[in-house]
This record gives sequence, C-alpha cells and structure tokens, in this order.
Amino acid sequence: MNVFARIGEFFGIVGHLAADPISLAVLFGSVILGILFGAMPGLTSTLGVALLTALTYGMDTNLAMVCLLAIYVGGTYGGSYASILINIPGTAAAAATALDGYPLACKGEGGRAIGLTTTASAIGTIISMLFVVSISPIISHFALQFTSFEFFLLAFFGILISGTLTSPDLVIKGWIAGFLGLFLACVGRDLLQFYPRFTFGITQLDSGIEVVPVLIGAFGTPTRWDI
Amino acid sequence: MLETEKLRKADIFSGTIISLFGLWVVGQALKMPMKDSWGGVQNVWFVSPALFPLFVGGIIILLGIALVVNALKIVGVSGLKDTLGWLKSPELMHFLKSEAMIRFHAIVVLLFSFVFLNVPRIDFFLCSVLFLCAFITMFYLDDPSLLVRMLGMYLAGTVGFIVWFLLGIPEVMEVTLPYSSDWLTLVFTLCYCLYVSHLIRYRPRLQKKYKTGLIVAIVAPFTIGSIFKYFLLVPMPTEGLIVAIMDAVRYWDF
Repeated sequence: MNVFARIGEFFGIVGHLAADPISLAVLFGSVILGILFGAMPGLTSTLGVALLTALTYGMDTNLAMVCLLAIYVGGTYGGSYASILINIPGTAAAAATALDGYPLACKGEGGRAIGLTTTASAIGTIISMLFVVSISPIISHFALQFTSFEFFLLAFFGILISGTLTSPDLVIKGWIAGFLGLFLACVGRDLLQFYPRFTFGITQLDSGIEVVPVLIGAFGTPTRWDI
Repeated sequence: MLETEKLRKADIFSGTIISLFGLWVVGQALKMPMKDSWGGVQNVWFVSPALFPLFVGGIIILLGIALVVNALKIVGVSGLKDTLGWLKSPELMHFLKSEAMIRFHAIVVLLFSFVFLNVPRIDFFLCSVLFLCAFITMFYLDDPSLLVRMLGMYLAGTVGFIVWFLLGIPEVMEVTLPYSSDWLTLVFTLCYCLYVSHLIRYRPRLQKKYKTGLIVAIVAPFTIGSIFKYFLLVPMPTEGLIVAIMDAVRYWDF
C-alpha cells in the first residue's frame, strides 16, 4: 500500500468515527478527562490511560481505542496548564513549556500562553498522526538503528546543550545539573545485574526515581523559595 | 560588591560541595562489584554496575573543581580569604535567618513530615488536609513574620507526632481508642487552623485568603481522593478514620 492510499484509508476511518455522535462524545469527554489528569502535577497521561482502562471494558474495540488515545493526548497536552500557571510541569513533556509559559503568565498573559500551547499541541498532534500513518515503516526502521551507543550520545548531547539552555550564568553549572540528573538516574537496581545502586536498603528506591516527581520537585520548590 | 563577584565567591562553596559529593559517589561506586561475583554471576568490568556511577562521579568531581578554579581566577586568593572569613562572621547567621532560608526550611519540614512521617501512618485524607492547610497558610498568606510562627507551630506538632510514634502510643491505644493517630491529627489540624486564624484576626485581607486556602485544603483531597478511591478503585496509602467513615457511607446497605 503506498503512502497516499494509507493516508486515504486513515481519513476514511477518521471520517467514519467523526460521523458517529457517540464516538465524538467519547472523544471530547476523554480529552477533557485526559486534560484534567495531565493538569494535575504528578498524574501523567500514562497513569491516566492505565487507570481509565477499566472504563473501556464495556466499549466496542474502536470506541475503546478512541477513548484511550484521547485520554493519552489530552493528558500529554494537559501538563502544560500546570507548567504555565504554576511553573510545575504536570508531565515530563511539559517541562519546556514552563520555561516560556510561566514568565508569560507572570506578565498577565497566561491565557495567551495556554492558547499558544493549545495551537502548537493541535498542530503537533495532527502532523505526528500523518507521519505515523504515512511513514511508520521508515520511522520504525530508523528507530531500530538506535542502539545503546546512540542513546548514550543523545543523553550526552542533552547534557551538553543543558549547559547553555539552563544556566544564564556559567555553562559549567548547566553541565553540573545535567550530571546530577544522570546521578539520579543511577539510583535503583542496575538493569544488567540487578545490583541495588544508591538505594540505602530502601525498597521503594529499587525501581529508581521517576521523572515526574523530580520535575515537580525541581520546578516547584524553587518557586516557593522565590516568592 | 559586584553581583558577579558575589556569585563567584558563592561558586567556591558550591564547587567544593559538588566535588565532595562527586567523591562520595565515586566512593560508593567503588563498593559495587567490579570484577567479583554477584548473584552467582562472574562479573566483567564493562558490565559492572559501578561503571556508570564511577563515570558520573568522576565528571562531577572535575566539574566542581573547574567551578572553583574559575571562581578563584576571578576573585583571586583574597576572595577565597573573604569567603572563608564569611563563614566566621555574623553574616552567616544573618543568612541562615533570612526569609529565603526560612522558606527553604518550611518546605523541607513540610515535605519530609508529609512523605516520611504522616503518609505511612495517618489516614491519607487527614494528613493531606493538614499538609495543604499548613502549606497554603505558610506560603499563600505571604507574610514572613507569620511564616515563622506558623512554621514553629507546625514543627512543634511534628515533633509531637515523632514522639507519639516512637513511643508506640498508637499500638497501646488501639484497643481503647481506635484510630488514635487520626484523632490526634484531626485535633492538631483544628488547633493549627485556630492558631492561624488567631494570628490574622485583625487583618481582613489575609482572612479572605485564609478562607479560600482552607476551602481548597479540604475540598481538593476529598474530591480527588474520593474519585481515586471509589471511582478508579485505587487504595489510599493509609486508610484510617476518614476512609472508614466514607466506606460506611459508600457501602451502607440502604
């Protein structure tokens, strides 16, 4: 099947779902539920999908998929609300939104920031859906080329750019923050040999430290110091 | 003193602390199995759990040293002497008592008491209401003098709770008074709220904020907690007095 045929089929399915009022109602309801989940710091879109899966047991498969995908998308987008309004990213994906969104909200332009992030999220979601439909095989082929070396280099690149992105004073401070982040990633059981690293015998630390609590702590507590 | 110079002097402290932290990471990593057997598996260095922490710790040490060296280049040896002299000066105590530090202490006390003391032992709804009441009143009222008093009150209660749990009083009182820790939390929350309302009795602007904060502190845990408990069927970390009452209402055989 060529790319255009796949896109045609995709829009055919979308049209079919949009023509059904129940599907539309479920779609809107699930997106709102997802936004509520994402907007609450600590509740992620993944957690939302996991918890609300129970609601879909009685649904038709297609409707259940619409519901779960809508919760996921709404949850990912909803994280930006907390980022913009209280400088605490609701989800890991919304961490960057806090950098620009919160200063705008402090200037009294919170509504504009939310409008911008809504537009950007909608455009991003549509483009990513089109990419998934049209070039999934190419993306999956490319993704499979990503091995440990590439992941290491990507993480290293992330730390290097954090020097200039995060620290207005000295680049070295951003790098220190990046490596402190890598240290936090070391906490928990080693994946290869299951050896407990920096857990101090606390079993709750065996699975490591999740990204969202770190984000909430890192973004939220300095805000309380400053006010 | 120029702002940059101040920052560089502070960098001497932070760089030293970061380097020491890196040393600790390396020290801990050296205790991990490098080439010896772990869990019946003969280890090799390139899959050792110590490898990555050693790398991270080493880089942290180097970056900490680089921060100190960079600072010394700018402020010189006299800057180092000034920095060390600051440690002995009354300015240190002034800094420790500054508003920002008190805010920091308040956050540390609130979060540690909530996560490590209250959540594992006290009914989730009650300890959430207490936490939110304290957090909102301390920071939303936005008055440094009030913050110190409220922190003092909360700290006194926290010490009381620590003693309460260390002496094992809840286990002793379980027969005579079930959910004794929850009752104590309820009483302490009420006392705390009354104390705050007493502190702000002549300040109408703060009273309005206090009422709003109190509503949020009560409504938020009960709304979100109830959805999780009864709609999504997620158990609370500790279920005590309030959950028992809510269960009785929810599963009442009408």
